[in-house]
Amino acid sequence: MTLDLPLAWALVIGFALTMYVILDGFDLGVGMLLLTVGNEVDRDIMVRSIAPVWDGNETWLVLVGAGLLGGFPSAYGIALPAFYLPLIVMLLSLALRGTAFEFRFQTRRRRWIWDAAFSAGSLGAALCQGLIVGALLTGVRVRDSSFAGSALDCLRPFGLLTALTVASAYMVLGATWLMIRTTGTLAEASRARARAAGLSVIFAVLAVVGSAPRLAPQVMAKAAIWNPVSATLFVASVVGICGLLQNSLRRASDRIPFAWAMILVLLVEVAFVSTVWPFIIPYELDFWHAASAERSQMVLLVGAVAILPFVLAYSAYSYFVFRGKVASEPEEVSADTALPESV
Amino acid sequence: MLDPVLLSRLQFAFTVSFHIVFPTMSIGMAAFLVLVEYLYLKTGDELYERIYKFWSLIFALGFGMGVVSGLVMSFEFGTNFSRFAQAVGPVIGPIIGLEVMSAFFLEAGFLGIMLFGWGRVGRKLHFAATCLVSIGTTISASFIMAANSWMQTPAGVTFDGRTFHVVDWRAAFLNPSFPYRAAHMLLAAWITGAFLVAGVSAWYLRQGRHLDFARRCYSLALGVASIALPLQLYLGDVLALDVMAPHQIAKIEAMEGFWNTTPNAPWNVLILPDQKAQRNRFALAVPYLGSILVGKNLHTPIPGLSETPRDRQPIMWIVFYSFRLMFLLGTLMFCAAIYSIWLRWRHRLYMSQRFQHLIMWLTPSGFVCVLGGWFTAETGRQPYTVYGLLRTVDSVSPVVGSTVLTSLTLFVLVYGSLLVAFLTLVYRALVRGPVERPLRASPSGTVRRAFVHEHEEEALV
Repeated sequence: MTLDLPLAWALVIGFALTMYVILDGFDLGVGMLLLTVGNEVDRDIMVRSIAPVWDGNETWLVLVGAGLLGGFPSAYGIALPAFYLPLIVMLLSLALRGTAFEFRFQTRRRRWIWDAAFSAGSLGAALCQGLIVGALLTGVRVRDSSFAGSALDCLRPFGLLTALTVASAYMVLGATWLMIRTTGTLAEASRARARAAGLSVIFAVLAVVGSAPRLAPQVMAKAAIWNPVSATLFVASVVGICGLLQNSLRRASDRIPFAWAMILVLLVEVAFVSTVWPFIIPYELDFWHAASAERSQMVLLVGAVAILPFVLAYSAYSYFVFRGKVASEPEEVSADTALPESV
Repeated sequence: MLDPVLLSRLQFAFTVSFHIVFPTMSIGMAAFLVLVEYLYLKTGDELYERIYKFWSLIFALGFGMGVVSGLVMSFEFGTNFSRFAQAVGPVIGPIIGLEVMSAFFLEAGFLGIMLFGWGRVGRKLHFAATCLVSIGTTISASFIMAANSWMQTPAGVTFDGRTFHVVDWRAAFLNPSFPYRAAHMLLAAWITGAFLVAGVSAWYLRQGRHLDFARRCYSLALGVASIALPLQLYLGDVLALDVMAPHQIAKIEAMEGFWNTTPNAPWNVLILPDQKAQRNRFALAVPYLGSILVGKNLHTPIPGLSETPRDRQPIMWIVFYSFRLMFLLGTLMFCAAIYSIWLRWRHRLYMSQRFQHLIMWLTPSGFVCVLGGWFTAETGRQPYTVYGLLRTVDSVSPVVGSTVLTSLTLFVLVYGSLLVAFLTLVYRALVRGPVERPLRASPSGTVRRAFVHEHEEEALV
């Protein structure tokens, strides 16, 4: 039996994408929820619950990008110009989010500006990622291995619905994450927000599936897996998982809801991937034809097999070090927290 | 008409210039923090803990900027240079992929512990985290230099006119210019960090604030600079004349500012090149110095840019002035580093006011040199992205000019605001200075000898 290299590397990229969606998903969710909390102490707790880990979480996205460039360069070269505008706005949003993290702790009087940038950046990044998902589902125009559409192709009503889905799903992750890491009123407020965001996911998924025949006829025509039965099954599972999530939110446990949130996000991701499968550029280029030379994919695969287990181990260790409920005041007074009142 | 090629190049130049400043700072500061924490563990002197905590705050601000602007770079190859990405993906993609897996995750995984882990993990483990972050920044720089050097001196591949195929990974990765350029960049980062620390310390010394803190930092940083700068000058000379000249003579020709091959060559200081007429309208030069610097004697001819066919020439003025900027400022930094050795020898390091003044003004000099060096390297590689094989005009994405203008405007606005905020916050952190009181009681009251502090106690008198 020979190793199907393109498939193996596609699985690694899929794994990185899943890690990104779950890990940065809750970061972005916390960011979006930041402005819904008025209390400054609570906001600090929210940010500190993700401060030590966000950078590693975002790195999975860099791996997706680099993995596509190295493993599927022709797809990378088609997809990135095709999604030019949402990608650039996403990158700038993530830039705002990432710098707001550091900057907000350096000021007291203007902290609200950075909190606003943090929230706007998180929301912008989530919406742009959703727009790209929608644009992938509706397909990319390709001629001579190059993108042949216009930059505005990816801004369609259908994309707004997928954007809503992604943003809501991230908010569910963020709110349930906060339930694990916080106590008191903030934890209770997060519980309420998780409920609302869960309902929003059901609404958004229904809207995406219901409007697909009109707004995204390409899906009906070209996606092999798409038929009334599979669509009904998908919607039913989403509703079912959301029901289990709501049920767990009514109970006392503060960890189980995050598990349901992860399952919910995984379900949506699997549905998306199986809809476009085996295309990497829907519905023009499958990933076998987009594959880089064997030597290049082999280097990447050997690197991934050798290095990623260590990455997972020390990332888990980092989560372990920063486990538990976030205290309302930092445990240690250091230069960054000992700000004078006037700053 | 809006030219998408020019706009994409401007956008890439803007975003990459913005980006490079921060990793340079991160690499230099991380190495400095490793040194400081090592000294702290060895001596137990709480002053080192204060130095660590203060500079790690500045480091964190810069690191964040580097992460977010670096994320942009990894996608910009595709958004704006998709045909380049499709052609070189099989070569550069795996290099960047390995960089992400081996370096980015390492930095990100241990940065949290480094910044927020005091008290949560033991001192030795904390030191290990600092080392791993520093190693991560170094690995990352090495991979990026391998990829970029491959674009300068491509090797180990075949090109079918559309895609590069790797035939020899070893040759591609260890391409001819890689070891020299990687070393040049790493040294530049350490020097940049050293001058940043020394400059800020000089500022405190002149203000008479945080004296113990400032003296220790000043001495450490100038010590690093005194070792690194002579090496860097030597390495730069080897890199330009022995490594790049055989592969990219056009870059050297443009750097020196001659159109025709000139024996007994002067050293051009100011020129007004006319690329169309292939001549300088004006030149101000130091006699014979060009030949001395290039050939180490009075007569060595310096090749002129007209030797290179016009369609393979870079734009002379930008290569020339970028190089002059790096070279002249680098030479000034070298002189300052050497003079600091003299002052140290004479036990006057903390007393010379004029030298402190100079060092204070040289605070950003490392960053300026790095930008000058990168402009020399990258604009000197034009009109190619992969030197001699893939032209820049054949590298861009099928994106229209107005779209690129939109994104360029967004980048300028967002990056501009972030830079203003960054500089404001760093400046205010520097004004606040390190925490004055000891963070905890010092386990030992004596200042032990460490690194280059032999004369400190005497100099304090």
